[in-house]
Amino acid sequence: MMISATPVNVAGFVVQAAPGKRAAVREALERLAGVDVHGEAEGNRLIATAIDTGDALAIDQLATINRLPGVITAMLAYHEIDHPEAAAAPVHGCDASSPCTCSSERV
Amino acid sequence: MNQHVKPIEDHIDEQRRAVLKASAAAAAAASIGVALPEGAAAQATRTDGIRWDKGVCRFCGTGCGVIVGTKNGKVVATQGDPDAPVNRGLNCIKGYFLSKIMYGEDRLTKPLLRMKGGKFDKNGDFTPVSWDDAFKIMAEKWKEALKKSGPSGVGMFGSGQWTVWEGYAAAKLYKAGFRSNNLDPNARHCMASAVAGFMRTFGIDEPMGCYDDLEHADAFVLWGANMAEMHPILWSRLTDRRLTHEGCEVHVLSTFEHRSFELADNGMIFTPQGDLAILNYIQNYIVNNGAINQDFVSKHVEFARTVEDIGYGLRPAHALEAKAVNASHKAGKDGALDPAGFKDKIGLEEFKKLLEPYTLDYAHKLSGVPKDKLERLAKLYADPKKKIVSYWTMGFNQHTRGTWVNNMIYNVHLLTGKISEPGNGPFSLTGQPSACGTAREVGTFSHRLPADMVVNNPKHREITETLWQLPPGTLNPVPGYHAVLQNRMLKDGKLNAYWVQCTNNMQTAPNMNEEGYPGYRNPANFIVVSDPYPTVTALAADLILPTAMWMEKEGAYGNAERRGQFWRQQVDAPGEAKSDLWQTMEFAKHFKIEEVWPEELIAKKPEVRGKTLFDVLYANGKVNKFPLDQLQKGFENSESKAFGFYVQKGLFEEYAEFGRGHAHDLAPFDLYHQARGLRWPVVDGKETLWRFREGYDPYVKAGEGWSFYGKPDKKARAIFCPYEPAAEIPDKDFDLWLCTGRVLEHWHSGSMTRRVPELHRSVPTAMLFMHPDDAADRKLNRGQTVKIQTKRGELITRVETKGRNKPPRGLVYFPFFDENQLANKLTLDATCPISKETDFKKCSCKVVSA
Repeated sequence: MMISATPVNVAGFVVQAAPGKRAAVREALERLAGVDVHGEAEGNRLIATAIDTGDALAIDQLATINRLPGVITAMLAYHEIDHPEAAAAPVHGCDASSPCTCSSERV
Repeated sequence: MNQHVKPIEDHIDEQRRAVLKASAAAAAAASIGVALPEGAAAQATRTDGIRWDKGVCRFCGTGCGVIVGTKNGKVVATQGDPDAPVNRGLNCIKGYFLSKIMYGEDRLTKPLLRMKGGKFDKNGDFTPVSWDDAFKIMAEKWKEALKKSGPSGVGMFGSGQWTVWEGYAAAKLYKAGFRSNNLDPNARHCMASAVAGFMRTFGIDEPMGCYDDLEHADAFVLWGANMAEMHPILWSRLTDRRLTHEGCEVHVLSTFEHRSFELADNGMIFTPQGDLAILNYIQNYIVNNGAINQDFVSKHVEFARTVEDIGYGLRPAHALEAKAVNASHKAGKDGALDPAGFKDKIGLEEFKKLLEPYTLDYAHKLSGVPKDKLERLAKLYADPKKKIVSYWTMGFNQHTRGTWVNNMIYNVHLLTGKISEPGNGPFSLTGQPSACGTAREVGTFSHRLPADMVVNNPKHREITETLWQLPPGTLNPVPGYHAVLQNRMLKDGKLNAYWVQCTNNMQTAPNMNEEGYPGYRNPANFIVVSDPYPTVTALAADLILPTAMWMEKEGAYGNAERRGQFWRQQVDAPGEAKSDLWQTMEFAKHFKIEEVWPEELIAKKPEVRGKTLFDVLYANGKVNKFPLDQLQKGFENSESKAFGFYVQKGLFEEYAEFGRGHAHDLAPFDLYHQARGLRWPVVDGKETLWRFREGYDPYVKAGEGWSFYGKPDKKARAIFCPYEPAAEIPDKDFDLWLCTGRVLEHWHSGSMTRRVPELHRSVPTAMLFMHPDDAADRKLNRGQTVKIQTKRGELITRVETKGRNKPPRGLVYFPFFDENQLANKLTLDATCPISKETDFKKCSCKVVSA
């Protein structure tokens, strides 16, 4: 039931705080291992990341955040499994004349 | 420090961590329209060769767009698609699993047959065999069953997780090839009641509104649905509306308190089955308080009365079926009526009279909801100034009166005219990614054909036979075995060759002790299960076929708002795993037409003589007409390369013929590969956001305003349905209601999410959620090992009295994701007699110390 490698996970997400709770939620987020707050946006929203650390996994922190007092939702925007040892692969060379929407650039 | 967490500092330095975090933060910021300075730097520094392409989430029916990142032949990253209108750059926590679900350590890579002494043995051990040997034994067993019992001897159980073309190819193989309607999807367990409700009220399936309603409504009512945990992306949009739109309110009804209650302005816990009384009370309030939209009703609604006392879909010998006047098995005999029928055009006055008993007092008595809360809800619906969306999922659908409650919520919206316009409408949410696009639309139900047509309608069969180029009379006019009936027929030895694809039905079907498991292990039967993993269902089979999943194939899903979405094959499947599409089509090569069709049918089209089912169904000049040079440039397409033509395009374009010009119009195949999904009907390249409404729906003529064109008279039906009790009610021996369901972290039976190791560690096992006073009465402490017992079985688990789900006294909640604690050993196989969908939400149980 386990996957073979021990990858490093990083997640970027948006936390929706209840009205009047943004500061308290930010403080709670910043206390969590591997969690950083990168900015705030109108509507009581915070931009945050979680990364696996020796003390906690990103997925556990996401689950914790979802249950924090004052948090209405924590929505994932980005997830990556990083394998630093893996060799870089060639980037997809899509035929520009096709209707393909793929991109080698991050969206 | 968590001893299970391996330190990672040794292989990732601070600089790389900063880059990774900056990338993640930039994506999160972009999803809400904020630019972070560090984001630009991160973009510039990431040159590690990840290829990105658009895709669709593998999990629920919301249909979120994801950007999929692949590297070295593996999916390594996902991002909420900022251009996807559904989720606008965000995913729920399940998005975290997407990069991992294909890489579980126990992924199946070879066909496995139960063997002893070098040959098949039902009691043998699973042994690797070649695909050719797998199909040979399968074909042998299918031919035996067809010879013994005819088309009724073979069957298939499919999935709302099938891609559109997988479901369509399977429907052709069974309904045309084997001439058997014993094909049913797992969507029978999740939304058959929604389908039956739509067909009875509107004469056409699927919601009239769309997710855009979330930004237009003044109020939301959740009927049983726990959107906060089961549809989090839609919940975040609803939350935005609630917090930013003045006067917006949220009403939440459920049989237990859950996460969605945290945002509720009016939270209501009701006694199971009490929803029937509440819905009739609301209608009664509307008709007696001048809240009927007379103009709308007079032009667009006819009133009707449902057939009553219809039983509970149990085996005919069950006492409850014997007692019910109009039980399914009695229909048409000795004056018994069809349980799906209704007396049409009874008029508004008779309709009002039928509602009279459902007073506030009576609704309170049957539901247990405080009167002030019920009245507040009724007043909300009655307020002509409030635009309202009603949402529901399994609470309504998994209900022995599931079709009725669907009809009743439509009644509420029809009486007030709050339907088919921005911010107003009833909306049936879905739990699987293509329960709509595949299971419902392509005709995988045992009574259906593509585009809402049905097998017992001669005209529909004729249309289908023409489009499929079949001789007249090929299609079987008798509806096949539905999901629950399939398990009963397996147990009874009447269904002998059976194929399960893309679903874990041993774990998710009801009453597995008495019906499911005995059926699979019946020596008269040969069971094949196609799955990426050794699920409970696979391990109960005789032959397991390894399946390619999600991004290992080109796919298409259709979500709850009628949005069709495509993706390209991103990676190869491991080992010898093959997609369900390849398996279905390749298996068809093993049957000569003379082996499956009678001579008199072949005589009507002699040119099929000597051909295989593959030739007749798929190499028919339509499905195989698009050459390989039209494949998506730069992407693999395993099935098309195997068969020598663009399989997905051919199947899709043939299927789309059914709906074009018939209010189910799909766009041309290639357009879906460019767009972020399109909502049907798509006419002249334009999608439809609100059906049945002039100005939005091209099928509504100028001057009509609304047109419910699924009915010949273009009028919707408001169908009166009474309160009738549940099939099994707590008594002195089994004194608690048992409700089963899902949890946020694991998707359905957990066959994919339980492969994500860190998640499995976080939420490893199911727990029984119980009111602390109920626990105290039984001298049970939180965390204690307990036994849940019903009349059908028992299991051991731990009790939780402080969790996120807070049942009222008298009810316990138990999730079904845990294969080591099989919830469906406990459940009763009672169904809605109309939709044939199981009621997983209520039976009686007792809980004792283990």
